[in-house]
Amino acid sequence: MDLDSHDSESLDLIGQRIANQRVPTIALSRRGDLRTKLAAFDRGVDDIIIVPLIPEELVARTLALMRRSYGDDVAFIPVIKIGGLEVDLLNQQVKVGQRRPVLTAMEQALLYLLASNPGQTLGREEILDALWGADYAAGSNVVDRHVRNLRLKLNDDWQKPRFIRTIPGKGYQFLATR
Amino acid sequence: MPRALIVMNEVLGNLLALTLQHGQYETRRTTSPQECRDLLQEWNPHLAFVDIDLYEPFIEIVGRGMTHGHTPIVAFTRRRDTALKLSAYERGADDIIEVPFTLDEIVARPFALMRRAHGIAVTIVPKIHLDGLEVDLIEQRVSVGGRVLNLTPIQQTLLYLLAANAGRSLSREDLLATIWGGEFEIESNVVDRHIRELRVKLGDEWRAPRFIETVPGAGYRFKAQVGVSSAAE
Repeated sequence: MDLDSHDSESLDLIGQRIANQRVPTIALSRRGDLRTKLAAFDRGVDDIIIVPLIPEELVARTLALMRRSYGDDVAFIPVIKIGGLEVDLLNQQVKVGQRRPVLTAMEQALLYLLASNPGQTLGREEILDALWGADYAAGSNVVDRHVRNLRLKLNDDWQKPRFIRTIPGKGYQFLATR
Repeated sequence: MPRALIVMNEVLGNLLALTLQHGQYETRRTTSPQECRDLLQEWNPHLAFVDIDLYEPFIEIVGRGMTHGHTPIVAFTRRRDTALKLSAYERGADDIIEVPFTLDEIVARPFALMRRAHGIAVTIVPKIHLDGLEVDLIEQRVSVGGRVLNLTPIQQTLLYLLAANAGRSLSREDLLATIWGGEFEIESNVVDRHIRELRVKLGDEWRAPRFIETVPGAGYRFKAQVGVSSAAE
């Protein structure tokens, strides 16, 4: 649940029973202050993740909550294919031809964000808001810097991209794979 | 009063004990397996904080330390390692805090765990006193003699860490390892830079400091004596 959403109806769902069952909730927020966290736990959320949203953090906390709530061991699949790329969450690697460069947490987060919205142009502000939070220094070139580093690791030529295309004046787009 | 057992080295353990004052916890620190078992038996803590990079076997000791139910564990790690985290959760950690952390994590996550595991609503005390300083964790402010200063989260952590180990010199390596984690690649002068900024905010002059002293060749030391009880007597 996005805690920063102003949709009070959805926020009211936290801690509610649905079909006689309490639904465990992980809250996401861009505000990492103590007041926000305490209020969220007070409302009944089970866990809270503050942006930057790192994929491995989301996966580990989700698995822990599933285990705690239902006692099941949920299958954990370390290697998944996203947008034609093989990504290994456990080793923080991505397979590019014969190479397996290691991605930083933020590069991994950026790759997941772009690849989960294929064919869609994401503006710098949108990327900044989703990964770093709105409070992050506006006008900073952090998004471009991370895109550049990610491209280098993916061996992606910005003039003839296979994965990440620059949309001038707009932002970036992950190319939909056939 | 909630009771928290801390299984960490002294520097980090002191930081935790001080920060947990915001939840009025009574704390004991140990790194001895036998003392840990005794404390679990006799003192019966509500929660345990375990540095799993250094004291990994304590997950089992704490997790199995009681016949009925286990003591909830908040694990600490400096490693960005999904496998390690998953295995910690599997072996009984209830939550994991990764270094570098912000102080509010040390207050908010135990708050949730006390609620969940014991049904206890911990009273949060936003303001505590560090000798001549009044710090407010909710507003992220420090008052020095009526003057109110805003600190960044890192400055706040640095201040708590120094104050929690008052009277003792902390080396740059101690400060780096505790605040930023060992595996971080950062410029070497990052500690000095943050100390300088913190001193400016505190109005502390490095030649005649009231709070933070430079100890040549050794690092930095918080001057004031703070009555923080951290270790088991």
